[in-house]
Amino acid sequence: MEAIEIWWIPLVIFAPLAGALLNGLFGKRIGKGFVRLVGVGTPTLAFVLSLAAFFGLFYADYGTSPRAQVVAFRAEGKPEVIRAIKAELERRAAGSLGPEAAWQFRIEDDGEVLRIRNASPEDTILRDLHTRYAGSVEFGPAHEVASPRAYAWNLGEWFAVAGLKVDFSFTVDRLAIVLMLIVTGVGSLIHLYATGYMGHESPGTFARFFTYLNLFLGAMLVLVMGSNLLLLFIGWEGVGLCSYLLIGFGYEDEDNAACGTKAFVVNRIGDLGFVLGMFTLLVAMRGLGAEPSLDFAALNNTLGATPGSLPLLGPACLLLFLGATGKSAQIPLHLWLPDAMAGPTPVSALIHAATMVTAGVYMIARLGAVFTAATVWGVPVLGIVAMIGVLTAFFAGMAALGQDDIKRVLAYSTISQLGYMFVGVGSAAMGAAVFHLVTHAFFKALLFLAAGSVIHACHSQSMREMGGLWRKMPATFWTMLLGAAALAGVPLLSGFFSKDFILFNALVRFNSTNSSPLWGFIYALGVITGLVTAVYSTRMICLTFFGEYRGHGRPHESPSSMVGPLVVLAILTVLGGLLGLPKLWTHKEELLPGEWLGPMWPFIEERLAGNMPADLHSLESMGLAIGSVAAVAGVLVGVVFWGRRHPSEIAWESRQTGALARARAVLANAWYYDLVVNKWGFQPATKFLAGLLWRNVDDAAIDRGLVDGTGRVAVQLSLFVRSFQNGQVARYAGYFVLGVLLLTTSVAIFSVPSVLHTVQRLLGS
Amino acid sequence: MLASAFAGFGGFFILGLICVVIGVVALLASKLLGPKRPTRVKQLPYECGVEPIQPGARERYSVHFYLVAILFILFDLETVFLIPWAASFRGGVTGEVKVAMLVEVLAFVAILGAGLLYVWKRRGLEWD
Amino acid sequence: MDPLANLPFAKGDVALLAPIAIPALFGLVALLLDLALDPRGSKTPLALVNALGCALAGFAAVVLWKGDTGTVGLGGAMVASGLSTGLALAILLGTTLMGFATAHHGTGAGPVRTTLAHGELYGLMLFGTSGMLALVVANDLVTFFVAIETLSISVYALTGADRRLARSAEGAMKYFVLGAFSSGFLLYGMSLLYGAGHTLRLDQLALSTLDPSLRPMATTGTVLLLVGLLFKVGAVPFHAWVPDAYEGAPGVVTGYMSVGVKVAAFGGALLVLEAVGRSGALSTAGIWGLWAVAAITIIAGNAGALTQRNPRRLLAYSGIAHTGYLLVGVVAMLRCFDEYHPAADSGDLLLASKDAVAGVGYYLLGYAAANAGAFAVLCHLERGGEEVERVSDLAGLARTSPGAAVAMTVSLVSLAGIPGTAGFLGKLWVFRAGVGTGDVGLVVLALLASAVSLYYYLYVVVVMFMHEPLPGSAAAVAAEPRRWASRLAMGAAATATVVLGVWPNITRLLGVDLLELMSDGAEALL
Repeated sequence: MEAIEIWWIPLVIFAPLAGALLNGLFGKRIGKGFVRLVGVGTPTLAFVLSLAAFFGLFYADYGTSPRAQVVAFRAEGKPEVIRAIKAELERRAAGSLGPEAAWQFRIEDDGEVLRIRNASPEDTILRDLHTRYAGSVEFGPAHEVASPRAYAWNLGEWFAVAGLKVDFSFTVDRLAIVLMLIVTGVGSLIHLYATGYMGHESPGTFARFFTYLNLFLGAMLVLVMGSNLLLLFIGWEGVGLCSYLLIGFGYEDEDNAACGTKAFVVNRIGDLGFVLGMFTLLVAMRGLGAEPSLDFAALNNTLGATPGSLPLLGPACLLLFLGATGKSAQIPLHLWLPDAMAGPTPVSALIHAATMVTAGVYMIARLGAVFTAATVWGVPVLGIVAMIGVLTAFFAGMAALGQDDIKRVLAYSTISQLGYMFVGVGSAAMGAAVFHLVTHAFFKALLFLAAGSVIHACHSQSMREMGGLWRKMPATFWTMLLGAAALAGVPLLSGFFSKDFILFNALVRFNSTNSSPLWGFIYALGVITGLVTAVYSTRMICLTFFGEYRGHGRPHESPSSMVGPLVVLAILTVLGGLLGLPKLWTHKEELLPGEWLGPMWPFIEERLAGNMPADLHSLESMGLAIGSVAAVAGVLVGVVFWGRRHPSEIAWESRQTGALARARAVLANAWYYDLVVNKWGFQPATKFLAGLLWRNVDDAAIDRGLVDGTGRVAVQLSLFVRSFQNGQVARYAGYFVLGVLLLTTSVAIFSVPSVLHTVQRLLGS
Repeated sequence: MLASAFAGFGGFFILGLICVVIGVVALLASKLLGPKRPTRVKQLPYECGVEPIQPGARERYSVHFYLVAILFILFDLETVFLIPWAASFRGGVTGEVKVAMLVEVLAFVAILGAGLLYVWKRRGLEWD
Repeated sequence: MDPLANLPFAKGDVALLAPIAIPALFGLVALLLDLALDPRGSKTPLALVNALGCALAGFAAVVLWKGDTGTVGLGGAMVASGLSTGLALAILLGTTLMGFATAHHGTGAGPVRTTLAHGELYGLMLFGTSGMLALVVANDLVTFFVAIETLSISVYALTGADRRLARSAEGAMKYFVLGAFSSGFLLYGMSLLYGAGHTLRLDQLALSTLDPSLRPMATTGTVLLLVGLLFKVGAVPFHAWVPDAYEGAPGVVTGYMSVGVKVAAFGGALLVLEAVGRSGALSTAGIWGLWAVAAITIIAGNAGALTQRNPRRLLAYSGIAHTGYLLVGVVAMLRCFDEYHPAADSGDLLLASKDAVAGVGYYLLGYAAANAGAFAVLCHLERGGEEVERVSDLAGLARTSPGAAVAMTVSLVSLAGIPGTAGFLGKLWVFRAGVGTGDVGLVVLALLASAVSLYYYLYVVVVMFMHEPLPGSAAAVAAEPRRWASRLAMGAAATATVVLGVWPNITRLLGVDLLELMSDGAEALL
């Protein structure tokens, strides 16, 4: 990949960080207006810069117009041919008045590629040249022939230890720019929304909120833009910290603080895996004899390109995946996300739905080649990833059916949708996963913000205290309805295309040669989960907006600063599907996952080539049909069961005893996973360990033995040293002379060779 | 063997020893051998052969006395530096060197002047 | 005949003196400017003159003193390399910050109890700085001695600057008497060294082959010369003046000398030790002697600090402990001249020794920032000449003056060597070099001592953040908005400490690559 140095790339990160600094230092004093301006302005600036970067990347590969395209020559391993072509073309262009006068040349990819701007693939001069070198040179539009353009900027070396050199360097490539646009774009909308949502808070709280929120954006951008795994990890930890701070934002309430702590602790388990995985990758690289590096390019090009399977690669990727299950709330570390809903709703929308929780997916996509190459005892790691993903999707989707709290419904729904994304990366369809990540960011942010608007109006999170809101809050209703439909996978909305593209890829894996039957299970469970998703989405809409209002007060529509973002997100939710219309209809590569992101993972394509089933078209039409049927059926089930009825009339919502009530309790408690793991496993174990360590190790050995003992010795020594300091200058001079005598004599004595050897043996090493 | 190793440092040990011995011997000798016949004049503080200005050595002087003395010595010595300069300046240097010397001495005098100005303004030249 | 042809140095070399001459000139300006200022008002114009002088000197040093070969100038009287610039920047940083910290000295509510004259204070600080800068480029024993005396006399006078304060006068007297004493040893050592090596120039001494029969004389001379330098840096057993002088001197002076004198003396020591080490005058025995001094200094410095309750005395002992850590680096640097070293003449050993030089330089830079920060906070809390005399006076500072408490914490945390601060990187660098040269025992001792030091540094932090303010204490009356200069000093010091600890490369944006300066200096020296 050819990275161009652009100095303003780090500004994308610095803008929100500067916002955090300004708001943190001065926000409280200057007032809310300033906080609002800075808090929304800096993410918007980052968004604008990201847009600029996107257009730069786009034009570099596709040109600005049909007349000014970008074309490229490629000669594998023959830079001299490329140089010859360039010289020839420059000579032709020099005195010319034709279109070739505007050509701009650039040699890249170790001299193997010549990129020409403002040219056309139909140009006769170029075509003639291609014919002359036919056989050794490829020619065509740059996006087909050259590797995709990327931007980078290196702020300087961070450290270099034992051959490992890590830079503060940032890369914006096609994958990163997608995430950057989501993070800054959706992020800016949510910041805007939050100015309304948090509007009633005191200036201090308001400033603190935006400080954290901006800090989060900065950390998330570090995560996305870092050129190496360590920078990604810094961002990873940074967003974790902000998540912790924001979940416990209302820290006066002890429950909120406890939820924050829980999220933090659970994530630490995952992070341990991440760190160990990082180390194992380094060891694996050393094992290959390659220079150790954490740069993504180096990791993917050495570890990912090694044919066969390195023994350490599987464990390393599993450990990294453990990190991903922590951050992205997958089994077995998913239990923190529902509790994270203790944070303010904009936080849930931004961090716990649209951006941070997708970091695990992003990390695996970044290391796509490495993960594809990794196996443990013959089982591909990606298969494990997909299996965990689909299981999480199903169990979390079911759990969403049993929730009364609207935010918890959305939380379980998020876990479930993240499960789909892992099925996507697990099927080696990184582009499909990122596509779903994008559409999910749109519709889930929309759902959370709409739910926030509802909560804002009803002063309650329980759906039992809502109902009938569709007349009172029409804008919220219509936008949320669109979001829920997209989530349910109703055909033609964005969620439908992205989810079905993932399931289609799982189906392709199932139908590949040498496939495991487990892929069939993954696909089937994915479809069933789609049905469940449609049911709980419909349930949520019905309980919230239809029937009679069951809560207190008089709910009314939210202010325009909140409704505005809803409308924008609703438009994106509807149109998002255009980014990935199926190949079946367009007969072209899918726009985002195929055309734009496809070239990011050349190794995967190579690895899968030859295994692909023959008839992709009929598979795809079958997948689309099954998906549509599942979604529509789910919606129908929901409408039939819930409709406009009062919860007390619905057996599922109102039964107190019997099998149905027990089933509901199981789902409401999310399969009792939290209870079993936390209450019966984790807490007694820590209590036992803590007791053991506290009484025997900490109290007896460390406190009384080491601490008190060394303390006493140290104090005695200190008093001894001080006793020399009696204030008399004559005494001091005495020490001085004594010191001189001691030093000179000891040097003289050390000069005796035998003494010197003894000293060296005793004190040297 | 030890002796040979120390051979180089031996001189210093002997030197140190002699220092100590001379110090001790000189003090002891004058204590033991010196005749002690005190008179009033001999007991007086030594002030360059004149009668002590004040009765008794433990009287306090005004600190200004020292201040003026120090200032005098400072400026006196610095003025002395000008004499060899003047001698060299007249002694046949020409051209660039002459200019350089002039510049240098002007800088020197300027620094002195700054010092004098400072002392003056800080009222170091006044007795009260 | 052109008389200039006989000059012992090239005319252009005079420019090399600029970094030394500029502070002296500005000292004179400060002295005279003070006459025009309101005697009881704020002295910020002087602080600005001070800062301007330091900035110009620093700029001159960056431009003129650099490189990895060492520029010998002025007929061999001086030699400048990247290390000189690095150390000069550390010294100038200390002088600038302490200059700001003292601008409001003696102002504030309540009776004025100070007789500090600011003009003299700034003048002497700048004159002393001039001597310090000369010391880090000295290539000639005479230059060396003149530099050391210039800085010493300034600091003696500064210690007694608060004339009517008995404590200040007493500290100055002790420092002066012992200082004169040490100068005697220094001169005696120099004369013996001259006798053995027949040259005053350090670069020539380094390359000379000593007559074997004169080697003991050279070794004795070296040890005595070292005694003089060890006195300046406060190594045990020549440290006795440190606590008394630090406590007696006005806080600003203590801050100034704790930074400048130490940096300059270590800089000078590196230059001298390279010469005596290479020529063999120091000998392996001398290295082990220094080893012992380092070990005792580390132990005694930390032990002494443990039970101190006066912040300046605490920092005095802390400074002694840091001298010990720095001596670890000095010993590691000398190992490449150790004929009996198991890895003698190997490239790895030379690399480790070079690492040690660069590490000592970086350590001093971080130490300068952190120590200046700690003293800037103490100066910030001074009122009408009343200094902070007890750690308990800082109780509750976090509430009454959070900025000062944070700055103090950053400084102390850096002195303790906790990651994320300059102190950590410095220690890491120096100790790594120590391990590289095989002085593992000394490094382990230093690490254990660093762990102990956490206690007394964090004690102050605990008092500031967790205790209630005492009525009438410095912290209780902390809020005084006009002291912006000392606020600036604290903020700058804390920022520098963090920046140097997290991302030293960022100084490249200012056109100075500190890391490159240090490694250039190491390359030039060894």
